[in-house]
Order: sequence, then C-alpha cells, then structure tokens
Amino acid sequence: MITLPEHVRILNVRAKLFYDAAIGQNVEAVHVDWRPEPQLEKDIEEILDRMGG
Amino acid sequence: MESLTTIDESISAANAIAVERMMNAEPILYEADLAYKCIPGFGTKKLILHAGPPISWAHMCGAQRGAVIGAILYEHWAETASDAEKLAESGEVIFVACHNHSAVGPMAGVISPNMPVFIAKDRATGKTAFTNFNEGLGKALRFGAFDTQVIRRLEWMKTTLAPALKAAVKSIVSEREGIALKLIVSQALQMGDDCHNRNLAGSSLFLREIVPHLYGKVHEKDASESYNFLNSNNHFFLNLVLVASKVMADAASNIRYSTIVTAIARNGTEVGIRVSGLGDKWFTDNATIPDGLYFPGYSAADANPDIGDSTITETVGLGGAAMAASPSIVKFVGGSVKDALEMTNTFKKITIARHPHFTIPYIDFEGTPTGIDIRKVLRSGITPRANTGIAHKVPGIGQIGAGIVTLPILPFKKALREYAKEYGI
Repeated sequence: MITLPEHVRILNVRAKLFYDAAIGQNVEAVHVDWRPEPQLEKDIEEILDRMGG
Repeated sequence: MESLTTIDESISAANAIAVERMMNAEPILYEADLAYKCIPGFGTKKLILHAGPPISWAHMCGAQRGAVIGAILYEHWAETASDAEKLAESGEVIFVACHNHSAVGPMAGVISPNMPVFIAKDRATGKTAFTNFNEGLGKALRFGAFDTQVIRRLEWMKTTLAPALKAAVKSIVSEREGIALKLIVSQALQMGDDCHNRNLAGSSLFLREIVPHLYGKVHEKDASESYNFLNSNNHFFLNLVLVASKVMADAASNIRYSTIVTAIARNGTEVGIRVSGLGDKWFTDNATIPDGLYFPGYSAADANPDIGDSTITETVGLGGAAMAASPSIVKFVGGSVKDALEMTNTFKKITIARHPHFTIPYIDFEGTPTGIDIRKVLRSGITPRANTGIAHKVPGIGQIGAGIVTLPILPFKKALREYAKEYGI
C-alpha cells in the first residue's frame, strides 16, 4: 500500500473518483474538470471549422 | 458555397427557433383508444411498431424479439411462442419504428393493433403523437417477457383499463381541452422526478387528474381495478412523459439549418439520432450495455444492449439532463447525489438553452439543459447520458436492472457528414 506524505495537497484532473477519495480522507484537494480535446477525423474538424458557432 | 458567417448565422438562427419551439410546445393528452383505431397506417395489416431506429426481425435483439413474440400471441396471430417466431420470420408481419408513426414506447416499445394508446397533441399546432400504456416493472412485455401473466395483463389493460381511461379522458375533455402534460412534468421535477426513470411524482399527479373522472363513467368494479393498478404502478406516467416529449421534440423538427437533436432512440441492437435540419433520417451505431444496478441473481453478462424510445426525454431536457432534480434516483440506477448533479452540469456543455418551464429546486431553480447541438457534442467529445431500464438479453425474461448509458459518438459524426452534404459545406 502506498502511503502519502503527511502534509499533501492534491490537484486532481478529470477522474473525480480520486478527488472524492482524497476529500473523504480529509486531504486538501482541488478538482479540475479537464479532458483532452477529442481526437476527431480531419474531415469532421474541417466541417466544424466551416460551420462556426 | 455560402460564406462562413452566413452558415454560422443561419445555424444559430435555426437552432434558436428549434429550441424555442421545443421548450414552448404544450402537449395536451386528449384521447385514449386502441392503436388500430387512431394511429394512421395500421388498417388491417399485421403491423407492429417497435422502439428505436428501423430494424428487421433478423437483426432484433432478444428483448425486442420477446416483445414481438408477446404481441403476436396477444393479437392471436399465433398460438405458441414457436409459431409466433415463425410468423415473425416469414415476412408477413411488418415492423416499423414507432417514431415513423409519430409514436414512442419505452424499452422494446412494441405497439400492435389492439394495444391501447394515449394520444397527445400540441396545443399550438394540433400535431399529434402516440404512446402505449405502461404495464409496471419486472415481467412486462416491454422488457421482452411474454408468459401467460404478461399476456393476461395486456388483455386486462385492453378490456378494463383502456375503456376506463378512455371514458375518464373523454370526461376531462368535456370540461377543458385535456390534461396539460407539461404542467405535470414541471411539477414532477419539483417533487424529485427526473421524468425518465423516476416517475413517482408524475404518476401521483396524473392519478389526481384522472380519479375524479374515473368513477361513474364505467362499471364500479372496473373503475376500482383501474384505480388500484394506476395507484400501484409508480411508472405509469413514464409513457405519458414520452408522448409529451415526442410532441415537444417534433415541434423542433425539420427546421432548415438546425443542428439540434430531435430524437434519440435505441432498438437494443442500434442507437440512432435524428437532427432537426436533416428531417427524419436516422444516424446510428451499435447499442451499448448500460452501467447499472442489477436485481439479485443478475449481472451485466445477462444484460440486453441499450433499448427504448425513452431517450426522447433527454432530447427535450429531461431524464439525464434533469438528474440533479432527482437525488433519490441514484438508489435505483447507481452513483451518488454528486454524480446526479454532475450529469446535469455535463449536459450544459452540449446544449444551447436552459428550459424556462423545467426547473430544478436543488440548483436554485435553474432550467434544465435543453437543445443538444451536434456541433457541441463533437467539439467537446461529450455525448448525452441517459437513465434507463435494463432488460435480459434472452427473450421472455424481462427487466433485470436499471442504470446509466452513455451514447456513442459515431451517430453524431455521421449526422455532421450528412449535414455537410445537405448544406454544401
């Protein structure tokens, strides 16, 4: 089992499960709901660019 | 080819119209009758409507086949399940998607000629939509069950419940235009329903509308039996939410240049979407297994892939989009209250409006995210998520759980490519 240092602060990205677990253990944590941009096919990207919005 | 600015402006204007029409439609329940008497196209043919995009018998999943077998037995087109299967294979029975007949049905969504249906219309346009009656949970035709108990209940619904509800609705219509379904949906959201997988409040509110018109219109025994059935079925209002949602979604359909989704439906083999500016075309991918909670003795290995027209609710800002309104539903479909709130918040990233009539007390009466834009789905990589029941994959068993399903992205890509062709982009 991995043990964390006593004074740790967590910046959690994407998978909220880890953030919830940290908060549940009274560990200071900040969650960022970030995900990588989806990998789209070139033609889809081009159509979206032309459509605007 | 039109300039970028013109296309962008055309899409924005069209989407604003589509979503305004969707949110301002007023579905009114005004009639109940047998399907062959009111849904155009039934006539004397052996026609069976089903959920989701169009599909042939050969490609139907187990739950869908089970429901079709049950419908054939119910219609007395065959006397045994084996003969019913042979008849379905023979090509003599015509299978058409519910949506293609302005209808919607949860799970297998099977509607055969002698099944009772509700009819709702849009107050402004008079355009109608249809849905079948809800049988309750567990062993039900819509989950693919077809044993004697299921068929007997369907027969009772035809001979006792349908005449009672027909008379009650007629009595209401003699006093006013009908039952304003949108008002019930709005209230139900305030009372903890998501209006897809939790319909306890909606069913109770519907009962309050119906009961004063139930007694005295049919034999008292039939009225009492009907009351007891409605009172014990917490999901009876589900089908009425569906028909209300269909009316709302159809109000937003067929608007040139609009990229707003006007239908999401699954037949247990494929999931399909429709887009306003692309008319009635379906864009599909394989249906997936929902992530859910299972009844004792069952697991994901037993599950039928995602099935039903009930995602018409997510299409109009209910169900998954309104999950934050229904903290208690997580006990039925899995997850936490935080997850329910996050699901509503995630819908904000793929929609263009907040519903003025569907509000959520828990988040300061914010409107539910409404109007799924295929462009936002593709740019964000976020697809709609829905609450759903889970049927057994083997015909004849029925419901085995409930959960959450995430739509695949391929239908949105297919729709975008078709859009580019249609509008010369």
